[in-house]
Amino acid sequence: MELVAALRPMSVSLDEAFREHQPWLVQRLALVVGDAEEARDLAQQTFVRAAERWPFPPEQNVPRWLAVVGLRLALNERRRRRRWGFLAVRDTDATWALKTNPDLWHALMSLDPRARAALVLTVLDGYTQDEVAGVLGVARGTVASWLSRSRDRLRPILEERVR
Amino acid sequence: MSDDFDLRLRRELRALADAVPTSSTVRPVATVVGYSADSYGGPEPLLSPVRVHHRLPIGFGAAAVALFIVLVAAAALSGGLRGGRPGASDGASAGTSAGQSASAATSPRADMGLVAPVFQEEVVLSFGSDDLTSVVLGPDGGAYVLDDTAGTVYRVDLQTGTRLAVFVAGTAPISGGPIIGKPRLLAIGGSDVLILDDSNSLWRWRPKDNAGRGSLAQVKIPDSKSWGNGVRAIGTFVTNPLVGQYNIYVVVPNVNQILKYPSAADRNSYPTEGRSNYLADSRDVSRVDDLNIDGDVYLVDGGKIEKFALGQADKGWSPADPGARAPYYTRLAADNSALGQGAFYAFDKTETRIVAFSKQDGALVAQFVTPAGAPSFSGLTGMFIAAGIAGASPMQYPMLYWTAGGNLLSAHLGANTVPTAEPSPTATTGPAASQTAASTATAESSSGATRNFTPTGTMTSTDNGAATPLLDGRVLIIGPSPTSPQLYDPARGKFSATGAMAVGRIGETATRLQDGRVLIAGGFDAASLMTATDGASLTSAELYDPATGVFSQTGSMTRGRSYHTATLLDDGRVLIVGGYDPSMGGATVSAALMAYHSGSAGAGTPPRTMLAPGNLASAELYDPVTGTFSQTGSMATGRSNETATLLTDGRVLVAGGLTDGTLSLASAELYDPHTGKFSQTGAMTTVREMGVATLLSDGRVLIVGGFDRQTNLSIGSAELFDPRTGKFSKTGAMTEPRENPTATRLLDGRVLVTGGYAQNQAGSLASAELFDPTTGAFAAAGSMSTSRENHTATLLPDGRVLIAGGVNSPPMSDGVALASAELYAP
Repeated sequence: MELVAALRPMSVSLDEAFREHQPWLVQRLALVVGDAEEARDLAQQTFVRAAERWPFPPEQNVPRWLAVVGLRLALNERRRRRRWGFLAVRDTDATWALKTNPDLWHALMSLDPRARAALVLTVLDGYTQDEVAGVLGVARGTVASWLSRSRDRLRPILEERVR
Repeated sequence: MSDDFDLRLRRELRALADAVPTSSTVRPVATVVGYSADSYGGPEPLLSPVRVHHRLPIGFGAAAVALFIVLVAAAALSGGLRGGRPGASDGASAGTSAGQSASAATSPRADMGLVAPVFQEEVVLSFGSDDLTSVVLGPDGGAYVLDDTAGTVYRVDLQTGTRLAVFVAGTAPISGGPIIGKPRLLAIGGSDVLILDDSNSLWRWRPKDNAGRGSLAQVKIPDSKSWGNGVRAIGTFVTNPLVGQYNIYVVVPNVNQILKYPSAADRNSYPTEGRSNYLADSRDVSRVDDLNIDGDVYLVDGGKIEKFALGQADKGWSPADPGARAPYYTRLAADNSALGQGAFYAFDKTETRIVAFSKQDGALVAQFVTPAGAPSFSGLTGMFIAAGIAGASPMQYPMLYWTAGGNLLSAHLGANTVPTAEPSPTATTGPAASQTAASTATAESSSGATRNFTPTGTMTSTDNGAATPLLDGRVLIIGPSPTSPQLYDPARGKFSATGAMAVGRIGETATRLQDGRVLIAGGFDAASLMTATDGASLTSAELYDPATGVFSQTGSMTRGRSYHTATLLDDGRVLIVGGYDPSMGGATVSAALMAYHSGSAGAGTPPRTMLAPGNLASAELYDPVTGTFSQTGSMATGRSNETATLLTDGRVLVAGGLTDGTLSLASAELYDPHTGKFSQTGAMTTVREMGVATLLSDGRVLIVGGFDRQTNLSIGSAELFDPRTGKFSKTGAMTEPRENPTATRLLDGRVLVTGGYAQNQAGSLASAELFDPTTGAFAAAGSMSTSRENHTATLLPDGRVLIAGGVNSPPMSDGVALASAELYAP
């Protein structure tokens, strides 16, 4: 009984993992790539990769794994989409952002996507700079500099809004 | 304050995040089941079936999500999804658009710098005599050849190859005058051809038209008998171009001088009173073989070339050392008569080569040898450069005409690398410099480019894809818009638009046929991708004719393909291999893939045809004679973005690529044109997508870089395929990981690798490196002016490499399409 209980949750947990993690992953990816449609694609691809490896070992931090793979896919996807010299393939799916906080959105989009990723992971998810460096595969100092510049860029937007 | 800010930032960011629509309302099945841009390998962002979603009914996506979950759950329940890859050793990778590299017809000596073979050598006219001693280009566009045996100067029509005697020893001019002696020396002065005979009478032939008519008269130089019989050379300098007035310079060993004779007002007499010694310091000129005057005087004396300005030797000027044995120059020709402009071409009789160097600073521009079996420079007695004789050739590159034995010969020298009209950085850079990594590393210019990279003309658009070297030395570059085709002209250093394609293409191939035309096949219809409506690969193909600059339709492939390969076979046919066709993909295939990964498809070999969403195993042949494609044998594995390399034995090595829409491959197959079949050969040491393969001069194949989808990392390793053993082995690693770099075999056998993309690191790369096949090692080779990936690199006939376009993509950024281009000089 104990044995069965230990196995069963593991085998259904990919489905659960999808339900649990897909929404936040899409949110993060959308903030990074600037497009909800694309973010959903990326999240989907992330889960396909997760499926290939499932079940994860118990010690695996599933959200972190998803964030790493998702953001790295985002990195590739952006690049591949642009590398041919093509610009917008279609209109960006960002009406949700423009309805919510257009100023912040535009300021965010003016940042380097890597900086957006660092911002999202630290501000929304409480990752440390070291952890962000690990996720994005860059030096910690680089993360610190992205964050510093991002905050400088966003500060006027948010403070103006308060006044 | 800062806390307030952090709180606000967090609150607002969260509000934005919460607003993201996380569940799709419209979504095609194919995308959901892991078959979208990223799961297909490499460079096909836009081909993503994702773009179809606008047409699909709302609610479709939810079903797809459900399908995904069901599959996953089923898989999980049936024992867990495995990482079930069909073996990491069974893959390969790579693939690039066509024309990333071109190799030379000869393998010149490694110790000579910037060597290029001449091409299209031909005998313009074979004389009965075997003693042609001189040739000059007449003002009428004809060649004037001195036949010593016949004692005759002939005018040769370069278009028809016919000759006409204009100066015959023992006769007298029609207009009267003394008997003509035996011709000894030729020169050009203004609109005249000057002929010195063996009695030191100087004659001028003044052409009336371009058909060989003209008049012969004696030039009045009263003291010419005093020159003695040892005159070495005659030159002229035009002082009044409007009336064709020129000074005459005569190299006279008897007086250790170059005698300068200004023209009298009648433009036909050179009074002795005007004569002066040109050389400030008298010297022995008995070994002078040639001279060239552009305002300064260049003397070919005892095998060396010396410059004189206002009669003074210019010790600061000397021609660069071209490498190999010490040259002994005997003839000198210029492609531009303006002071200090253009290039000199000098014949070196020790290495039987033509060495070109900048007039301005003596820098080595290029050197030219004749390929084995072609008419040789051996025994060259006279020569001239003709850059643009009307009708002589459709090509715009310098033609060298020379006399040797009893023949007047011609050959294209490839690109004239010193712009004659507008000096550019190319003209002032010493291309022979910075051969070593050490010197290039310290030679950074302000643009970030090292000195062996110099800018050249700007492309006509950023729509640039495949580059193809044409037979005449120009380079055709095509891209995603129908009007994107452009030609790079190395002689002018400029790009210009050429004909329009029927359709703009992405992921196409471009292959030069044996007759010089270019076959463009497949790819995605760029326009339909732009409007996000369709993602089918094209079956259509077009032919570009460089002679007319026009694209025309030819037969269609048996199926649509993008990111395939096209390889010119030895028999003139073109082998088209693999590629990608999204119309083959879709839910069924992806479901099968998922089923396989889930284990529910049972153990054993995956059903390949089912498991290759869009990555094609089939191959076909294009026959330029019939203009049709026909199927040939199929590969064991579907591949797109693979590499294909024609081996020296005529077989084609196909390596790596992407299969199943998700897996990078290490495996390789060999195509044999005689049997029309593929067979397995050894696998690469690692999986590679977007690597690049280059045939080395020893017959091995170098494969560099690429992308490993399984680890999501760029690859820095390189390996060699040995056709004798059928095996791959690791060789030295590159200094940086690179996916989608260029690799170009240089004339000296080394391979130049430029740019590419480094995952999670620098993004696009500006750096370059050189692979040395003799050591198996890479060394840094300087930097381009900008970071580039998905660019092209094309070997030019003169040994330089044209690097054009591409995209500059910082990591995780959108990247900028580039219209800039630059030249690499080894």
